[in-house]
Amino acid sequence: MQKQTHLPVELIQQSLQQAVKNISHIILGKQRQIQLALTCLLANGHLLIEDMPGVGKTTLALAIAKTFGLDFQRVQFTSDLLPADVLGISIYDIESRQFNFHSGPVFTQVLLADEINRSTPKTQSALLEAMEEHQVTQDGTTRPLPKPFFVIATQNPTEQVGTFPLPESQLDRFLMRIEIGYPDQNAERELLKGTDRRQAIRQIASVLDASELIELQRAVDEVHVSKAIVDYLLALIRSSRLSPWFSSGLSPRAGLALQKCAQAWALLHGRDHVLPEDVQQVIPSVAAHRLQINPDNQHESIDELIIKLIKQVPV
Amino acid sequence: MQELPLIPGFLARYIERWAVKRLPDTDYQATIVRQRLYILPTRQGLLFTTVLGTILLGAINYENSLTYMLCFLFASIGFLGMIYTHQNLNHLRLGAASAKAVFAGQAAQFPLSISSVKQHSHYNIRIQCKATDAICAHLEDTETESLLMLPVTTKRRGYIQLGRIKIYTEFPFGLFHAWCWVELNAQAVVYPEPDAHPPQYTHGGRQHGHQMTQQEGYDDFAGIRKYRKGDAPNHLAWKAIARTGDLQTKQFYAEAADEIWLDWHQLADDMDVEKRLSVLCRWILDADKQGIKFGLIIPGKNISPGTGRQHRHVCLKALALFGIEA
Amino acid sequence: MTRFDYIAKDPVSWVILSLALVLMPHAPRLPAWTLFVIPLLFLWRLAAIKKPQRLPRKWLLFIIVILSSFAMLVHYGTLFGKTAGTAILAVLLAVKLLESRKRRDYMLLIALSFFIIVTNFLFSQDIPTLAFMLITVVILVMSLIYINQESAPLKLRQRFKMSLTIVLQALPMMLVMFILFPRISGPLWQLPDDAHTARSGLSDTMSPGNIAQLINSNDIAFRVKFENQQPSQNQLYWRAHVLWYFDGRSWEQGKLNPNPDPVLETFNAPVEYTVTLEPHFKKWLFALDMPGEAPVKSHYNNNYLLRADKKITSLYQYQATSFLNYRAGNILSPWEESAGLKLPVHQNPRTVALGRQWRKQFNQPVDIVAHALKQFNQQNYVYTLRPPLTPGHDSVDQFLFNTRRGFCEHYAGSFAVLMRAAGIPTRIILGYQGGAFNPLNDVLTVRQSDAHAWTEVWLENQGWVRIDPTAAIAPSRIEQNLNAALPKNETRPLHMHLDMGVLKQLRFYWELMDNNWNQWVIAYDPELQQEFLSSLLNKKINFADIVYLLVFTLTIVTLAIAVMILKPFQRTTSDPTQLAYEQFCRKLARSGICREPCEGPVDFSLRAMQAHPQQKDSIKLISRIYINLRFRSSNNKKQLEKLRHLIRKLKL
Repeated sequence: MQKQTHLPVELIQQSLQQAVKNISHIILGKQRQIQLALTCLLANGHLLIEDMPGVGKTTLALAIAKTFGLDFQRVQFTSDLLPADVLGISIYDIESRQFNFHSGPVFTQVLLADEINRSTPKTQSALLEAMEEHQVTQDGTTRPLPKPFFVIATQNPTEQVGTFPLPESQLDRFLMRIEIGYPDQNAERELLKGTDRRQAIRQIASVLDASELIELQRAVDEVHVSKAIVDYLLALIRSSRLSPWFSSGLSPRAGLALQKCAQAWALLHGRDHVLPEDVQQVIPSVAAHRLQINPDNQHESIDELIIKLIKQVPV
Repeated sequence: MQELPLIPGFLARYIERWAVKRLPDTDYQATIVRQRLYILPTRQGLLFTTVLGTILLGAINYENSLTYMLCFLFASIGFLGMIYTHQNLNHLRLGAASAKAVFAGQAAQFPLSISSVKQHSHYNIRIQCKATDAICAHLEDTETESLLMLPVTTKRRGYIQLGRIKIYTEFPFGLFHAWCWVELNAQAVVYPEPDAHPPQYTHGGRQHGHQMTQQEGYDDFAGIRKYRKGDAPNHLAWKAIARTGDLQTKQFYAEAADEIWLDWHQLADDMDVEKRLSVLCRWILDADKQGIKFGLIIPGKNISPGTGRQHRHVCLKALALFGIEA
Repeated sequence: MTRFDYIAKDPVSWVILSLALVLMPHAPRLPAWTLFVIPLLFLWRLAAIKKPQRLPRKWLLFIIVILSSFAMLVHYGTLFGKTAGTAILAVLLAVKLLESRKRRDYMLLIALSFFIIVTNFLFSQDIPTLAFMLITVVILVMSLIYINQESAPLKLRQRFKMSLTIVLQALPMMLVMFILFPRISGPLWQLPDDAHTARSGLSDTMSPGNIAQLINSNDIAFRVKFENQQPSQNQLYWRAHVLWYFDGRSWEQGKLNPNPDPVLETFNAPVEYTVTLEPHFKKWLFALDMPGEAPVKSHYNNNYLLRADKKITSLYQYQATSFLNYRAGNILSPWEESAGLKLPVHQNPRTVALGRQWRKQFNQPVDIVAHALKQFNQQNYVYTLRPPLTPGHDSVDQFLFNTRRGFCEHYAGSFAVLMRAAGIPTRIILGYQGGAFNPLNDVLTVRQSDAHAWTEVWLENQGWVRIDPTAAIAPSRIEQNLNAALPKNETRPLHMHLDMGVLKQLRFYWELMDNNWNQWVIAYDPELQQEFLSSLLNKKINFADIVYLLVFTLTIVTLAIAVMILKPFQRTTSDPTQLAYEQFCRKLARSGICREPCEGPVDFSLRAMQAHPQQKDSIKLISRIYINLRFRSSNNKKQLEKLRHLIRKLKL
């Protein structure tokens, strides 16, 4: 007997649609990217945004934090940024003759790690470890990070000079990677005409609060994944492993990520069950940064190849 | 390649040529279908038939009803064996992926996956590529796929294509040999064989920074020194400051690696191409082992110094494909 | 189970096990020394499984083969023929086993085993033998599967299942070939002398004790099906031999009766019946007193006996007629008179004296006969299976005056001596008396244990009259059966103990089956095939028709089984929801909207609704129900029905 889920999906959908709408006022013409970002948030994962500066990465992060009523911190990663600058540091208080921990910007609910690939690998891995373990360990003391904890890291295209690209193993820590891209003409026109975006952010009201978000994150696990979907996921993963386009296929962890994101996407669209379409919608964002194009086959982009992969696997 | 049972070699080659013409376009996966599946009795099949014939003669001669009966039973069992053998191979789907790069002379291990289109079980499926020994695979009806490695011997550097493989089975009775040729699109890079006795590496003309130098950097903590104006506040050693009361700065060093260039032109002029590549290959492996930062110069290609697996692969691949890539 | 499993882990052990099973039924027929040598060779192979260096060298095996062939030659006098042949095959199998290392060796062993299995049928063709052989075949096929798998992916249970499945699937094809394969009457060449070994059965001589010995045999002699009425039990005298010549101890047929045509006057309608005779490798046919005329392929002899033209080597059926009221041989020929009165001189003097005394005492031969029977009945004679031995030539004297305990041959023999001494021509008749009716099919089964001896005396105006002295001593032997006639305290053969209650009922069933088996399976020969197929198709069948029929039927059966195995119509899914949805997709595909294999249901429904705006609602509903069923796993029969209904109703 299959477990039947009784999620108040309509209610959830209403509030989430409200959130999407809220953010759409700030980021114009990027409905899909906003949905993906929220999916990532719902799936309790971290988001990597890879794009040119100035397309609204920071604005998106800020808008998400505002909409969900979350604390927000922003760290601009630079080449001289040290792990302690992110995590915090214990400072000796001469008066009390004790070390006091001064928590770093990571102790927040939404952290925007801007241009993460500008800092040294050491700092990068310090942040990524904190992300993975939801806690910071320093000087032998372990301090938990707040809940929910959502990192939006942005990354400049790797070809840029003076960057330390994230290693493959670290990329896996991000549930999703999205690109925002330039707005289309209408949105751009709107953008030029409208008020200052930062100003607008200050005006948006929060739709949900942190505890509701945690509830929603729990609800994601309740979204039903039928055997048909599991088979479909397995077929996709198998195909990625066998396909000559990629030098290595999706890992088991990637498979879990794919399932979780599909569940979150389904919930975002007011369903208590996953459809093949959900998987197809999220797979480019989940898989692109985890797959390596076979070096012998470089005339197609990773996104094109993922579309080909989807086309190849029957539902 | 494993000969066909009871078929002389020249005829077998002719059959293979004919069958290969009927193969569909090469893809990374192939499904065995009835139209391209062939079946013949084995030597044991003929032996079995002879025994059946003898039993039948006995039955006629002794006018023995039950001898007739068992003769027919055995004939039916043998015939069903043929159907089962056919069934054991039919509807099998094979997929191949590209193999990891190997050195010439080593066997490239091509990952193969077998799965069943119709969720049957398949036992004792043998897969053979060219002259190598066949590998044996099984697939239970409960399994979705079975993964295995098909070794293919390599002789020369360059690309090796998996190409045509023969899949055959004699299960369950060994009386029939069912087989099928498939062509799978998977390849592997074959590095040149590392030279066993390479000439000693001599420092060529294009060497830089051959001695260890220390440069200030960010990588490793090197110690603490007095604060100088202009030091980054990030680098202040707060603990030390707390202890001593003076401003102190943490100091970091980046180690500048020994950097060498492995140059084609360094080698004696009379050395032939393959030997040169072999020697370079050996040098790359040695340098990689010692963790030395190395670059590679071969005609038409210039790879700037680096370390790590990826860099090693790029260099070795350049050697492997030297003169091959258009 | 674990030990069984342990053996199963090694294919060689399995082959050894199955070969042992193949040879086992031959054991009782093999020379005693092979029962020692063959197991020894098997054990040797078993011991060498883990250490192949323990296997013997080729020259040693060669010596074993030479020695055993020589021993066979000494034992049987030949290396050919079925008994010697199977014995030498058994030894060769064991030797080959010791030499086997590779897969092809084991394949050869298994092929040879198939052959050895079949040789069992040269000795017995009954149902238990076949059943045992079928079990052996299943196990042999298991071994065949086992040695053909490289790394043993099949467990014991799977191998058993596979083997059993294949054998069961082979049965229909076997049946078709069995019925329709054109039978040729053999033999194709001269068979070795021992092709047909005789079983214990009625002999054509009679000496004290040799019929009593037959009583232990429960073998069936023949079966009878009466056409109209069944004669009563005491009329069932099955005539086999007429013995004229007495040497003082045993009775023999003596010279052939030169009497011209035997005369038989009959008084009522004949009894008609069909006899199915078990092969006894003689020409004798059995018939009720008195047979009317000879069945086909047989002749009538001067002693009112039926004799077949050829030896009965396989189950044989014939139609016979007999007259229960008759007068036979009204005129006594001179040869018959002298042969019927002849007694060995100076033997059994007391009996001869008694006979002569009676001749003086009574006027009529009939009175002498009656008096003799009365004597048997009233004096202290005992009917027993275990009479005391009466050695020497005066055995009749010893029996009549001392031991007084005897079986039918004693009574018939002594009665005949008495009558001959009294001047009445008398002869001994050997045959069977009685039989058991099977109420299930009204078939009378006559066994070896029904063997009997009685006499015929020649009386003026009456001809040869049957006199059964046993009836005077133990009337129940004739009225019922032997079991009823024997004294209560006497030990009986085992089969008589079984002949009671439920067991008797079971035996009836068994006999019924056995009878049908014999009639339809074992006796299936060219004639029966022709007859059966002709009656089946209602037309006369020739050889070509049979071949045509075989090819036709075999093709159909083979195709049916191949379809069963290959399942070419099997769908990739068995999920009813998916099947219904596939139908929906086919319907849309016909209208030009083809679902891509990678297309999800929502995307597809959107596309379909765009193409068929007038059917928007039903397409939407179908997709929704499908999604509910497949992706929400709501296992709802009603919903499925609704889905099917909607899809059926969808008109594009």
